[in-house]
Amino acid sequence: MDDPFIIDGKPFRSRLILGTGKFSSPRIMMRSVQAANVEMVTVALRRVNLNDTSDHLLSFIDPKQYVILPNTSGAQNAEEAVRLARLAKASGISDWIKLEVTPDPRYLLPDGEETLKAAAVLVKEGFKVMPYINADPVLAKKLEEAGTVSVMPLGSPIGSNKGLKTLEMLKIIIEMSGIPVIVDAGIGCPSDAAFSMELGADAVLINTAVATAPDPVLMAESFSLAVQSGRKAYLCGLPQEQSRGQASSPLDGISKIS
Amino acid sequence: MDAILNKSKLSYQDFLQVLSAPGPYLFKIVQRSRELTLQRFGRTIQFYVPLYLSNECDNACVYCGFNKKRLIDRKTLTPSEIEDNCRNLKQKGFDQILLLTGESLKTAGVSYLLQAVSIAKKYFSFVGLEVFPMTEEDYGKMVAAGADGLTLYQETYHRETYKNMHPEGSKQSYEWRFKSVERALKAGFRKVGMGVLLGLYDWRFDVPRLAQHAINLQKKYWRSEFTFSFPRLNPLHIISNVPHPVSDRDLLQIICSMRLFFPEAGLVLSTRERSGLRDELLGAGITQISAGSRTSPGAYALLEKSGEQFAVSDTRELGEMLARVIEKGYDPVIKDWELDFAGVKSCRSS
Repeated sequence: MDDPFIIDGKPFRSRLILGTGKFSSPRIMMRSVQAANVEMVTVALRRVNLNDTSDHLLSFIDPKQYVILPNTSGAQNAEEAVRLARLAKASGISDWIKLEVTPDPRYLLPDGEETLKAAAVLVKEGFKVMPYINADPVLAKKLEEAGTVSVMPLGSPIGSNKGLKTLEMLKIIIEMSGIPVIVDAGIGCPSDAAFSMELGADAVLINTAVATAPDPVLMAESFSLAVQSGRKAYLCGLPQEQSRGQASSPLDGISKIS
Repeated sequence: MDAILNKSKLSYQDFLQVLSAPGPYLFKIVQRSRELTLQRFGRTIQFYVPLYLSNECDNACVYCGFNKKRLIDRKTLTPSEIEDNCRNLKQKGFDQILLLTGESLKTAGVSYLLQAVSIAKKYFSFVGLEVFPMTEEDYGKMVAAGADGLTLYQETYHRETYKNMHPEGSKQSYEWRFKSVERALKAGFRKVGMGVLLGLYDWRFDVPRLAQHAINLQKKYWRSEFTFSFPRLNPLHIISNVPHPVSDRDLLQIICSMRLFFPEAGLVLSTRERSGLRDELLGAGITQISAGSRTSPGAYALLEKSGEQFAVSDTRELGEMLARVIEKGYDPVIKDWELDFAGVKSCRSS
C-alpha cells in the first residue's frame, strides 16, 4: 500500500471518511459509501437501536468491509458521551469512538473542556478516541497527550458548507500535531477537501455535502477524487505563490544574448 | 425581498418582511425554506405519536374538545391501560411518544403523570409531554422521571382574545402559561415545543410574538432544542366559526418564514391537517410528523371510545405514512434520541 493513512497502527487506503446521516435511504447511503471508496464510516449512536442488532442502519454496513466509527452526537457533556461510548462497545459495534460533545444544539459546536474530560476516561478504558474539536491548537495537543488516536478539528460549523473558515488555526494544528489530523465539519465542496489535503491534513470527513447533493453517489465519487488529488499535491510539495508571472520555460539563455 | 432571501441569517425585521411578503414571493420563500431544511436535516423525516392519557378537564376553552362543558365521555387511563397503549404503539414501530392530558389535577395531576412517564420510558427513547402548566419543581420531577421534551402552546399572544377563549379554570391566567416554557427550561427539559393555535387571532400578530418569545428564551437557555408546531383550529363540531381563518397558503407562508428565521428548529405537523397538504408541507420545511393518531384517551388499545380533543384529518397509519415518506425521497427516522440524554440514569438499568 503506497502512502497509507495510519491511525493507531491500522493502515487505511482511503483518506476520506463518510458520515451516514441525512441520506434519503440506507440504499443511497451505501451506494455513496461505495462510490467514495472509503473504509471508515461514522454512525450516530442516537440513531441506532442498540438493543436490536438487526437495526436497519447498521444492517446495511458490513463490519468486515468497513470500520464503523460510532459517534456520540447529541451528548451535551462528558458523562453522556462516555455512557454512549460504553454502550457502543458493550453492544459490540466498535471500540473506535468519534467523541462529540456539543452542548449547543443549534451550531453543534464542540465543548473542548468536556471533550478533554471524556477523552481521558475513554482512553483509559481502551477506546480508540477520535475527538471532534474546534480548531484550537492547544486543545489538540492536550488531547494528543491524553492519548487520543487523532484529532478532528472543524473547518466551519457542522453542516454549514462554508469551507475552511478556521484556516490559520488548522495550519497550526497540522504543523504541531503528532497524531493524524482529520478535518471534520463544514466542508462544502470537493475543492475544500482537496485544499485541506494540500495543507497536509491526514484525512477529511464529509457528510452533509454528499448526503444532501442532488446526486449523492456522484458527489461521493467527486470527493474521493478531490481527496486523492489534494494528497498527491501535498506529497509533491506545492509551489510557492509568486507576485508576478514566471515563464514555464527557463529564460536563462536570454541573458547570454549580447 | 430578493436580498433578504439570499441572506444566510435573517434579522427579526427581515423575518417580519418575509412573513408579510405579498403572494408572488411565496414561491421563492418556499424554495429557500426547502434548501435550508435540506441542509440542516438532510432527506429525513422524524416520526412521533401522541397518546392522550386523559380528557378530563377543569377548563372551558371555547375551541377545545375537552372543554368541561361539553357532554363527552370522560376517561383517564389506568396505569395498566397506559402500559397496553405504550406496548401497542411500540409494536407499531414508534420510538418517540408525546403524552397528553387536559387539566384535571384531581384525576390526572403531577403524581399521575410521573407514573405515566416512567411507564412510557420503558418503551420509548424519547418521551415528550403536552400537559397543563406546572411549577418549576414539578417540571424538575418530570425530567427526573425521564421526560425529555415539553410542548406548550401559548394559543394566542393577544391578551383579550386569550381571555375570551379561556373563560374558566386555571388556564385563565395568561401570565402563568406564558412563563411555563421558561420554568420547564429551567427545570432541565432538553427539547421544548412552542406554538400558537392558528385561527384564534390574526396570525400576523401571533406568529411574530411567538418568534420573539422563542428568541428570548433561546438566548438564555442555549442548551435546549426548540421546535415549533403549527396547529390550525379545526372547526369541526367544536367551534362553529374560526375567528381568524388561516388558509393553506397562509399556513405555508408561516411555516416557511419560521424555517428561514429558525434554520435549526424542528418544525412539527400533526394529523389535524389533511393528507395531501401534509405531503406537500413535508418537503417545504416540516421535519417531524405524527401518524395514525387518535385524540381520545387510550384509543390505541381500548375498545370503548371516549371524547376526542379534535378531529383527525389525516387518518393514515404509520406503515402507510412510512411508505409515502420513502416514496417522496426521504428516510423516515424513528429513533433520534438516547434514553439517558436528559440525565436519567435509573431507567437504563431497570
